[in-house]
Order: sequence, then C-alpha cells, then structure tokens
Amino acid sequence: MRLSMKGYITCKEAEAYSDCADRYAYNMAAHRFAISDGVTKSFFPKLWSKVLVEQSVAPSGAAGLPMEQCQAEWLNEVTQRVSHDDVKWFTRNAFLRKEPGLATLVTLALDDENFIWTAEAIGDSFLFFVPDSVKDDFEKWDKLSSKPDPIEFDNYPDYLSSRGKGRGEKRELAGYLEPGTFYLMTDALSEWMFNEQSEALRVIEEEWTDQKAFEASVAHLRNEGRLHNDDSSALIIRLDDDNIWDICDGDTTVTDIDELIDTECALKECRKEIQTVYADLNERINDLLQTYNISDNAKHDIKQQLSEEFALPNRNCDSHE
Amino acid sequence: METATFNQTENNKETMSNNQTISNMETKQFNSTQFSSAHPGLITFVIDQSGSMEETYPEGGTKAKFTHLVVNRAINEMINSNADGETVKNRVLLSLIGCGKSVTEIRTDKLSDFANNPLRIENGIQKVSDGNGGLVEVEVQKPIYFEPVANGLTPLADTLDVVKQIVGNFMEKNPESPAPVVVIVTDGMPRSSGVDDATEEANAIAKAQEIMALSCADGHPLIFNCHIGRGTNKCEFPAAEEELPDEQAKFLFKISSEVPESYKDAARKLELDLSEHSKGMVSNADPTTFIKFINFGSSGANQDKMSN
Repeated sequence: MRLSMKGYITCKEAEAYSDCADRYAYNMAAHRFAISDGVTKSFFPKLWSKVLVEQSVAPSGAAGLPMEQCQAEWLNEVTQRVSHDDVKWFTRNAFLRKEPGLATLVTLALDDENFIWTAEAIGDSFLFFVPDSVKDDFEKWDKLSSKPDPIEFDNYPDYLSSRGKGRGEKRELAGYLEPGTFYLMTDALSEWMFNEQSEALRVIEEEWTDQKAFEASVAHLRNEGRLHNDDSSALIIRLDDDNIWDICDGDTTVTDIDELIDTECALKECRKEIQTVYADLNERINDLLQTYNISDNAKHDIKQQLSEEFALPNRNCDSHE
Repeated sequence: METATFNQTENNKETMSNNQTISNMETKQFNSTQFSSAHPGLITFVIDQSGSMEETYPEGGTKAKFTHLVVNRAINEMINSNADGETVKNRVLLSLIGCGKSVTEIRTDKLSDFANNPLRIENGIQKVSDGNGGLVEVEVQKPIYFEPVANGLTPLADTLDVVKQIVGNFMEKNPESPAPVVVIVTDGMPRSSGVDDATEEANAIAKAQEIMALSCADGHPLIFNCHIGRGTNKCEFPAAEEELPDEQAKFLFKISSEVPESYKDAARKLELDLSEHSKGMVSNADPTTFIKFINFGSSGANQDKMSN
C-alpha cells in the first residue's frame, strides 16, 4: 500500500501560532502518528502536548505510552523555565501549586506485517478512518475518541495529566489496512466532521491544498459559523492500493508549527526593527530641517514629498522653530 | 535610501474581521459570547472609596481593606484562568474606577498588562495539595493593583457617567465582543457634595439605566451590585420588589441587571441562591457572600475548558 500524508495546523483567530496548544508528530519509519490538544487553562499545555505526541511516535520496544517518562520530561523542562530569574509571578505561583499540564491524545500505528492498524484515544480529539468504499456513508466510517455516545462536544473533555492521573479512560480501535484515509483531528475540526460529513471530505480534498489554503478555508468556515474558533489541526493519512503488500512511503506535506512560530517571531522582530529605524529617521529628518530657515508648512511639505518618494510612513511634522 | 514598504498595522491575525457573523444558532442567547482573544470582554469594577469604607468589621480590618483584598484576588484569579504558563491571553480588558472624594479611573488595561505590571507584589502563604491527600504551605507572590482608599462621599452618578463613557467606547470599537460587565461595590447609598440625596439617587438610577440600555451583538451591558454590610437583613438576588427589605436594596434593584442564563451556572457553582428573574445584586453582604459575588461577577473572564 502507498502511504501519503498531509498535516496542517493553525491557531485561534486573533491569536499567534505561538499560542497554539495543538501538536502532532509522525514517524514514517515506524508508521506511527499522533495528535494532541493542550487544554488552554492548564499549565504549559503546549509543552505537554508536544511531549505526548513525540513520545507516542518514538520507536520503543515497550507497548503503550511511557507515561512516567512523559511526565518527567515535562516537569524537567518546566522546572528549568521556572528557575529563570525573570520568571513571572503567575508562572512561579502555578509551579508552586503543582498545577499540571492537560491534553488530549490520539495515536495511530500501521502494522504492515500483520496488515492492520491500531489506534488509541483519550479526550475529544478524534481519529476517523474513511474507507474509499464508504466515503458517502458516515455511519460506516470508523470514529474514535474517548467521548461516550451520543457524541457532544463540550468544555469537559477527558485528558492526560502531566502530574498524576488524568481523567477518563482511553479507548482503542483496530482494523485491517485497506484503501482509505485516516483523519486525526483536534476537537473543532472533529465537530465539523460530525456536522458536515462528506461535505467536509470534499472541502478537505478540494480546498486544503497547502497550509495557506488550509488557513483560508478555516477562516471561511469560522466566519460562516461552521467551525468553532479554536486551535485547529489535522493529520491526513492516505492509503492507496498499489498492489504491494508492504506500506511504501509516498508524498508527505506536513506543516511544522515550530517553523510557523519562528517565522512569526522573525516577522515581529523585523517590524519592530523597521519601526525603530523609521522613528530614528524621523527624528534625524526633523533635526536636519531645523537647520534650515523655512516655514513649518514648507517642512511639512518636504516630509510629505519624502514619504511619497521613499514610501515612508507619513508622520506629522513635529519640528519646532 | 532603499525604498521600503511595510504594513503599519499589527499582525493581521490580531485584526478583527468586520465580516464576523454571529454563530448559527436558531435562538440567540444574549450575554453568552465567550471572552476570547478575538473578542475580548470588558469588566469594570466600581469601588466605593468613600469615608464610610473606613469602618471596621468585627473580625478586624476595614471594609476598604477587605474590598481591596477581594478585588485584587479576583484580578489574580482572572490572570490565572487566562495564563497558560508563561503568557496571559488578552481575553479581558479590565477597568478599575474609584468612587469617593473624586471619581478616579484607577486603571484600565489589558489583562496581560495588569499581570506584567502590578502596582507592587507582596509575599504570602498558600496551602496547596501535597499529592497525598494533605496540604502544605508554600510561599506565593501576591500582586496588588490598587490601594485601599476611604475618603469623601459616594458620587455614584458622576462615577457611572465615567463608566458609561468607557463602556460605550469599548462597545463602539468591539461590536462583536461580549457585552461589558460592570460590578459595583459599595457600602451605602449614593451621596454627592452640593446635591441632595434624592436627586443624587435619581441621577445614579438614570445613569445606570442609560448604561443598561446600550446595545451590541451580545446584548446589553450587565450591571451587578454588591452592597457590603454585616450580613443582617441580607437580600440576595431578589426577583421582585416585595423581597426587598430596605431602601438600600430597593435602590440596588433599580440599578441591577437581571442575571442572564449564561451567568446562572457560575452563581450555582458558588452556591448563590437564584431564581428565574433574579437581579444580579446582594445588599448587606457578609464577607463570605461578598467574595462569592465578586467571583460571580467576574466569572465571564474565567470560562474555559475544565472550568468545573
């Protein structure tokens, strides 16, 4: 079978990528995939969701997620951050109160030796498996989360905790590998899948061609009230029958949230730099104009002309005679 | 000089979409829009800073100091609810208005600015779970955002005029945001220099009703009132005038909003007793009820997953 994959991720409207608490990870060599949604109100949820997905896909001899190891990794990282001199009071207080990070988790593993797939889920993130033969029949899709039937999306999902026991019991699902598509999604997109079913599949197939198109699609769905304003991420794993027993790896296009964050940060810093340069430039121009015995109106006109000529931001003349 | 063009606006992700539509719901429930970074909410605390706030409780401490403690703690709770580790999400714009010798806009700021720049920080002790069913004491930092003041009269009408401007400006700039919430803390009837008490009372009522008549996509601004007393003759969330025991309660009834559905859950969790048409007010609140009421009034800012 031929495996290809797409992955897209975006934050809530009017927030930054650095605020996004969703994470996903994959290991193509081991054919393992994971997605997690950090609970915003918890303590360092982004870090917790990152640890969970990375540990879920790591090659390991032991069965299941090494929970203690995940918790130790999270605690170690948080302790380091809290020990900085400039740590904020609310961060330090939350650490002293032993507040946990909380997150959902969905994992998928493809076993090409036994030709099966297995999945686990806790929380309101979902795995959907849509065999090609039943794309238009939502009832026949495989759907996995730890939410009980009937499915209702609310503010009280099950979760894994970075300290102690979490909430809820994980659920498992398995099936034979066949042509079709796995969708690992966090809750906002999952709820949209439940609501729109094959129309959602059409949007995904036709409109989600790259990260920009995905973001435009999400913005449109939010504007129309079809998608809740929440972090939204999806791993879409496609299996095609190429008459080969083993799973061969095909195209992979997965957005890296860390790269989005770095790009965003770079843009923010460049903007600051430009604003500083322009502020300094404005001051220097004002000082230079002061040395000329010309009227305020003339100075204003000069600055206006320079703004147009050099595409500078138009700032009011504030020179003094 | 190289030509350089750049977008002067802030990150496009922070620009509100003017085409945002109300979410598709067959029946619109007002005062239900969730506080979010996309649509932050405004919470205004009006704090009585009149001379009578210098009165002491039998247990010790003045009403002014206790109010200062409770409201500062409520602000810290909002910050904790909206922090995810190292950053505070700006889902709330917070305004503190003093009503005493003069009307003072103590501070109006984004929640993250409050968090990053408190007036000062005190050290305190808090009991936390030790993970084995017991409690341990840990030293925590307690930021302070305003100081207790007790001086002068209670010019509530002029204060509400300032509040109306703040609320009106906010609604104009943020039409899709949750309807603003005003929480008034007072220990007596309005009194203003140069104005007889009846006129001052009538002016305060008129001004409050002007605020409650403003309108946005999420409905009308809410005014909740807490009159702090000793607990005797307490009147909590009355639904009808017959339930009002004294003039103070009757006054508050006229300047309080009916509690919308979206706030009833928060009230019940705090074990505050509400009926279907309850007004958001308590008169003669004892200290415990006062704390619960402030938490109820600011509960809009503390909604999120896992808020149970």
